[in-house]
Amino acid sequence: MVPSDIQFHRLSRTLTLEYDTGETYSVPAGFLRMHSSSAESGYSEMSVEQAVGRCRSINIVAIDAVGNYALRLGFDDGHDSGIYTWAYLYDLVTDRWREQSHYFNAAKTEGGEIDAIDQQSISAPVVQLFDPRGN
Amino acid sequence: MTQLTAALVEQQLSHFQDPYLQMDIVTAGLVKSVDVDSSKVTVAVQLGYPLLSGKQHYIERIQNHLIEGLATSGMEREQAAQLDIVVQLSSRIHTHKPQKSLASINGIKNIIAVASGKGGVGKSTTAVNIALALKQEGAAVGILDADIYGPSIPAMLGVDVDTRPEPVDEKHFSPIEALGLQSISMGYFIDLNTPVVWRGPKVSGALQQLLSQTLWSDLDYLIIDMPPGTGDIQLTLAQTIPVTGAVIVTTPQDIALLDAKKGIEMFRKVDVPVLGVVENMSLHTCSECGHSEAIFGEKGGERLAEEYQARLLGALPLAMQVREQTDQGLPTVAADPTGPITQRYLEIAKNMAGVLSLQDRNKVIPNIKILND
Repeated sequence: MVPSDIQFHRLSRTLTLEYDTGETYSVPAGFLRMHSSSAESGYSEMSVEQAVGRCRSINIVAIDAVGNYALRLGFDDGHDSGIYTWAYLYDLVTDRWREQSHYFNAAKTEGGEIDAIDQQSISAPVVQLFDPRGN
Repeated sequence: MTQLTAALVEQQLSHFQDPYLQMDIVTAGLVKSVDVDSSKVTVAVQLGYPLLSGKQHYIERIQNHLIEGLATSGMEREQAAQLDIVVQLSSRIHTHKPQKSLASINGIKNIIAVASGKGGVGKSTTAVNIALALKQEGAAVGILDADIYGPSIPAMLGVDVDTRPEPVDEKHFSPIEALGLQSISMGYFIDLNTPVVWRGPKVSGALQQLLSQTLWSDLDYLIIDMPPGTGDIQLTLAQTIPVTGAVIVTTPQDIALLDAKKGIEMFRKVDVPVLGVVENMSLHTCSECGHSEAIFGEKGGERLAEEYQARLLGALPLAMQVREQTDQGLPTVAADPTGPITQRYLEIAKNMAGVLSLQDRNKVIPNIKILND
């Protein structure tokens, strides 16, 4: 399923996907980082709790369209090789988020709200065509 | 007797099948207006694909269809035959709307990849002839030779070996014009006899440069002649540019079909619609005795198209003439613009452009927005 609209809310670190069917889903950037399908993701071996703890304050810094079929997200921890196909994204924001949202919510109550973002430190995300590393 | 009204005319038009869309022209949204003024009927039809060679024929077919249809729906035959039917037929090739972020390829409306799984099935020959056929039908066409290792488009277009693209500014260069096509190829940058000995990432980089740094001017179609296979180059292309559609070239032979299937699957994986299948080398007619033989087997393309719900855009014979003309730098469509093989290429091109014109409209591209909240 291809979303009709993608909105990234920079300060609240949330990606909102709207579909033609009227469905709308919002997930935290950290959740997407955690589920990067790239081999360099680094979170595949961890327990969910552990991964959530490390990922929850990560933000998105780049959103690239990949041809017709996917989205590439760049994160502020330097990871930018995860490609999210439309089908994978849909699976993430629906089923996967339903299963795992409580980890993120629990982390929120435990550790309090994520620190307010230092606005200066985050440069505006660039929507760009080419992989910055040139491959 | 029945009163002649615009509604009645439109109803008749809804039974008129467009030969390339396999759909009636009302459903396809091609009928722009119908005016009836006593015995004069004016119909405006706007096609989404280029049409020059069969234009008059198309107009006559609509006229005859209307006379016939009106005569059988209550109007006197004589009266129907005397109607003054004016058909205004035009073509407007719609822009395939790319992602905002992909705006770097300016001046191209539609990008079509011509691919195959296997090498040697006549991909480049087909690509270059389809490009020339679209041009002959009145479209502005460019061709990009994505085969970095073995560029063959320059030779096929008869471009002099010393021709180099003109730099426009520090980053851009203009394509080479040949036989009315704008073209770019790795062959324009290297010596013909020097092999390109590069690893994958470098090849992908070169392709990206060819794509993004060529200054195309107002193309309706950019045909990409793909190298064989389903590897690096193919993936780079699918990832960096919004390819509007792909055409798979195959021979009817089982071995080639096997690889063509992989080609189709690859494009499906990256959401590039497969516009159809071209069956090449389907029949050989012996120049000595005139006997026709299906050297590579029969109906392979048809079976493939059926299996993957793609359309068989056309079948081409294995003909010495096609090979000779293309090798001499004047492909069949340019060398023999009215010949029987050219007719086949024209049909293929129009079928392809027809399928494409329908595809465009249902294309969903997400809108990416960044908000500061």
